Amino acid sequence: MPRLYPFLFLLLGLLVANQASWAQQTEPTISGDFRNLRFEQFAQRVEAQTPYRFFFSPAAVDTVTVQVQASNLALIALLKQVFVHSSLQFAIDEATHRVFITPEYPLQTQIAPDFFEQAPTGTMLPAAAATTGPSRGNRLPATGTSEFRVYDIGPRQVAPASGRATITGTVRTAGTRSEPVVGAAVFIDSPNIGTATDRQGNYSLTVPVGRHNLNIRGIGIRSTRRQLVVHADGRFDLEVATDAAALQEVVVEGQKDRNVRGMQMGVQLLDIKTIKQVPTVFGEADLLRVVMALPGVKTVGEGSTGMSVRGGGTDQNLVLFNGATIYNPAHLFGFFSAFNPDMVKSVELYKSAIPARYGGRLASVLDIVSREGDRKKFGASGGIGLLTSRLTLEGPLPGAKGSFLISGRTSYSDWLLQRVPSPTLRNSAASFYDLSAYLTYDLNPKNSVSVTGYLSHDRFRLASDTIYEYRNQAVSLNWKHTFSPKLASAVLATTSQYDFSLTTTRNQYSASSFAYRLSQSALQADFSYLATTKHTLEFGASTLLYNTAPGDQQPLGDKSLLLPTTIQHERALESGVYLTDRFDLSPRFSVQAGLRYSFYQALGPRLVADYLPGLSRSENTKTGSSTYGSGQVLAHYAGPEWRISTKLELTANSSVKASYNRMRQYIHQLSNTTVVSPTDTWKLSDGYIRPQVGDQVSLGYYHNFKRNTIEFSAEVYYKKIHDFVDYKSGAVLLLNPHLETDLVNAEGRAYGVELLLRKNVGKINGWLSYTYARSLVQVNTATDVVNGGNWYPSNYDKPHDVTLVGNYRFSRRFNIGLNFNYSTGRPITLPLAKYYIDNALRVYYSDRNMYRVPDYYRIDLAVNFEGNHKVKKLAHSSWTVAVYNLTGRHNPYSVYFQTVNGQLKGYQLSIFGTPIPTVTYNFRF
Amino acid sequence: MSRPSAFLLRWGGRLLLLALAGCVEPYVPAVLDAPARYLVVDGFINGAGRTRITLSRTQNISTASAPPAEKGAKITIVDEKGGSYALTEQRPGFYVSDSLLLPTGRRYQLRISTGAGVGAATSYESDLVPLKVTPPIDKLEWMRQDGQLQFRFSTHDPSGGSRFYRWRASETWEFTALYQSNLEFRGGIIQNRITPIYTCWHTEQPSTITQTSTASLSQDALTEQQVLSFSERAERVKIRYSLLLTQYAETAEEFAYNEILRKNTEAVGTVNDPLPSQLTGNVHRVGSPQEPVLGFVGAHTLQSRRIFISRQDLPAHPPDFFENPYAACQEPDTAEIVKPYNKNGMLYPKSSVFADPDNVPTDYAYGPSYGYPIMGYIGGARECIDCRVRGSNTKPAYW
Repeated sequence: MPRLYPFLFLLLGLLVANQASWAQQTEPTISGDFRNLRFEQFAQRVEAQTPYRFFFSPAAVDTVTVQVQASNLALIALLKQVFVHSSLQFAIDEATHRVFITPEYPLQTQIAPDFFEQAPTGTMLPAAAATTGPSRGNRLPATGTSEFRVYDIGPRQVAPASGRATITGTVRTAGTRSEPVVGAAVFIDSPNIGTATDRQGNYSLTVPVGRHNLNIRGIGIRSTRRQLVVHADGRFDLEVATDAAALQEVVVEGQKDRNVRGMQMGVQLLDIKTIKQVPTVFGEADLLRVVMALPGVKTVGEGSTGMSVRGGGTDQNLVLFNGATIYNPAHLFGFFSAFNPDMVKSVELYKSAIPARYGGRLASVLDIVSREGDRKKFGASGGIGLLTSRLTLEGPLPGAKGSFLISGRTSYSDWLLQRVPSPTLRNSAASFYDLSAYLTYDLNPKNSVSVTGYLSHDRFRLASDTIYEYRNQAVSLNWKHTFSPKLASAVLATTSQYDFSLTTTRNQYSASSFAYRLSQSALQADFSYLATTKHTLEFGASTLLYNTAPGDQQPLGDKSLLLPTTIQHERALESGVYLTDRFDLSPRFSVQAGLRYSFYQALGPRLVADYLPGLSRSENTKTGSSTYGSGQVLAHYAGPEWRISTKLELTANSSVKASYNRMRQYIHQLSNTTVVSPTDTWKLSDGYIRPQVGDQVSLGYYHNFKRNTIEFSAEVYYKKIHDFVDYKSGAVLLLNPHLETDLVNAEGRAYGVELLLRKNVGKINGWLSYTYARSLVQVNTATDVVNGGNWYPSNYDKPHDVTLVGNYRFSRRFNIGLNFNYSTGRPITLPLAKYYIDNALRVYYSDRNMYRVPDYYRIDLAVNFEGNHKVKKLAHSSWTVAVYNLTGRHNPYSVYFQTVNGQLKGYQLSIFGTPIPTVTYNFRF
Repeated sequence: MSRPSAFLLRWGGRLLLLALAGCVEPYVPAVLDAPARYLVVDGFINGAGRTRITLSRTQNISTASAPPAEKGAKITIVDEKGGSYALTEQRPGFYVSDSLLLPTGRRYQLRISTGAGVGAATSYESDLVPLKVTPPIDKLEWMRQDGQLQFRFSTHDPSGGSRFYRWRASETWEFTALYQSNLEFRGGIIQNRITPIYTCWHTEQPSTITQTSTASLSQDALTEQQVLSFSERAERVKIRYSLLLTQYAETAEEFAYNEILRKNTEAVGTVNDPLPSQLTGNVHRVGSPQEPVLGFVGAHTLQSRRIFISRQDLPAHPPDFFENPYAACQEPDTAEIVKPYNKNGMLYPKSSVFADPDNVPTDYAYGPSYGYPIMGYIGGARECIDCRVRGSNTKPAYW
């Protein structure tokens, strides 16, 4: 039955239209002196006198000068006089009082008589397209493809009483690779009403009845507009051109409007083009490094991919690659991020107002989306850098219904190390590779599937006898299904694994191997439902099974005397359901209210130690142990996670947004260092380690200047973190069968202001940000106290931060990128004094994190040269020449104290203490 | 392709070097130049014997001088039943009590009053701690295994009240210099040696904290616990070696304090070490508990046991079996021709070469001439001839 509706509307519309034309027997007449007017001026004056509206291309009429005087002339007579010496033709649609001026041929304002015989029954013809349009050649355009045509929406005589009408439709790219355009902004200028397309490209917009310019802007498409006359509710599907000049890179134009109009706050979207412009230490585009240049994100150490978002811990960030969790996205101690830039389409970072479909981490969600392979032809691209090379292959799948993309990257640092004139380095080894693949296939217009595979591997030995090895693996399977234009779903099945091992062979009697493994399997279903024009619902459910093997030490070789030790495995199930309603109270004021309810069950088999209540847990307060069978629940937690945000548009270019959200986290990273290291392990919540709960309120003001090319935002936030994991002094984290005795639950709070000025287009683009942020910790339980139970700065507390990421494009082939970064030094615990007890030198330390290392300050410069842009060429190539740390400042990576000749001396280690030049060559076939 | 690969070789390697080896500079924040001088209390209340307490102050971490002694303090041991025992200052900063036999079953504390002589007195006191009675060391023995000499001991507390133990090892060994010396430079002239510098004894007390707990064991007993081990080629067993093991029973609090102290001190230095923690102890300033005072004053009795290893206890080894600390030494070849003596006797037993403390005379240099039988002196580097460089020439009483 729904499929017949357009037809009924169409018939009804025609009938009403015909009746209307019969009723319009008395034509308005025109009087006046129209001599020496340009046609446009003439048209304006006629429009002022009469209900007629003129439609023409200004270019077509710019040769016409009107020399007519009229006295009660009918329009048709007047126009005949005007065009008597011109080749221009006119057509008057009396029903709508529209006048079309066209060169050579007049426009047909009526539908061809044989229309109904030609239209195949059962197809979803858009009502708007069917009622009007140049029907020359009898063929009807299925969708709105032209910027220069005027489309009618809804049957024109069914004007709604409210004076408003709702347009729904889908935005798709034009051509054979037609695919929905996700997240494109669809909006009209006056009044300011806009929305964004959902994951199926659907949009719904309620606008006042009348003439509008509908603007469409988004990632990967050319910005365009459609001219509409809205009469009543109707459907308007759009085809838009992809931005071909982007050379597989997308221009984030939708961002411009999102800043002010988007519901989201605390969100930053980066496209790969921006990422590639930013200079990096080894010349390779590095996604995480660019994310760390965003306000509110702080690196925990130079050359480390560990990041702290708004004062949160390094474990409080959910890193997703096409939906699959990646636990350690770093290569070579974190000098490289483990995502191949050739695979990535965009990166989105949520710092506050995190959508309800995400859960499990407190501070942020980093959603990395890979690009689709080329659906038309096979291609190869790659790059050769100083330390790594990469290669990408892509092409269509049979039937042009899908595509594949395979990308690999490997280092040859091992080979280089062998040639370094230093014996310690020659004994070192460091190698890594990563491999990712992305397959997408459209089964039919309503179903599409995609598969992602990801593998990264690192192995290194640094002038020591211990070999470190770690590996990330992830597979995700995504099935998108459209039930109806209003209801769509996505089902995501993922599995991820992170494991590392240490192998020590120096002493054959104590040779050993140590292994850690964490794996998770998850299933998630998300639905989006355009309930009414004012309500958009998203809901879904997810479940996630964790399995960890927290430590397994085995002797290596026949002579090793080491006793094997295995820490018992942990299992847990984390599930969640959510519902979000986006409610547009008025065109300017919207509320998005969401609730996620998460459940967590720690599962057996496990042997759990019992401790004396009311005392600090230690081996001395252990009373016994309880055994839990396989699948038995040994601890259970559940709780609501509120996600509420509101937006109030103040003017066309400014808005205020506020949000409150609560997150719960059931898995905790254990690290005894301030930087992230591959030997950091993850611990699941259990009866002793409670889940972390974080609450955040934030308020933001957003303003766009100069026609949305410059955006400004100011956000203030306050965060409370409950029960995050901190350590007792001298905690043992590896191979500890009773970890709960070394961990304490701490309280945290963070607050700050983030200012961002960003320009995305033009010769000069980039952003400038300033952040003031504090992050504080308190450990003051009945049994454990740090710093006298007072609040003290966390390891991530770096109050002031100024970042400039700039790019100046001299021409399409030549651009220069500049980075500037300043931040307060991170907190440190200093040895304040020394003393002797028992004839042994001892050191008196300050309160924890009482002092700071010197401030951090760095400038980088990169120059990108593109080869010529001829289409017919064997290979397109580009060169990047970059200098990292241009001023050679010795920024401290680490500060440490060592006893030298009986004196305790402080040292600072700078990893990149000199300007580091790099050259990278990129190619594409 | 040859040019890019040469480039990679030259620059890639250098980059890795820079990146991985980094750049290390001294780091001296201003706060470290002007540290506060906090009181340091070193010692414990001895339940059976003399209590020895050393008072000093903390210093700037980069100073090389000895810690400043806290002179003129008044220290008393006080028990919770009102008993009081005074300590007297034996030398600056070092306070000793009479030999006491403190009643067990009471809790004790130390009361310290500093600066009494120079104006306003400041009072400190340690927390009341129970007197822990240390069980004796049942057995201390050594054995050879895998080229190592291992020292093991056993102890047990039938009452089960000890549970936490700490030990201090004191090693002493006899050794000799490489060359004998018959002469010495004394009173500005060369004379026959009267100070023996060939045989010495070295005593060493490792500052590492060795402690363990039997809390997780079903009995309060430790059997064949290894306390020390070193190579059987070590020079210390070449002549005679002795190990004194002293055992203390601790409270759980003192054990925890020492555990953190150990981790703070012994595990700091590399990039990936755990964050150190602030640690003071159980001594507080009266009326101002937030002022840091360093040191933990426990109360225990001591038990010790000594064993010896003589050369004849070990298998017969060739002379070059043991490690040789004198590998860099040369035969005494420093000669000074001063012709100080003739057949008529001593004239000018002066020396400029051996006035330098780095040179030690070993013997006369005899010449062929009848008129000048002694041409001068021969000697060598002090570290090869004077054993006091590495020890003391005073024989310990127990040797």
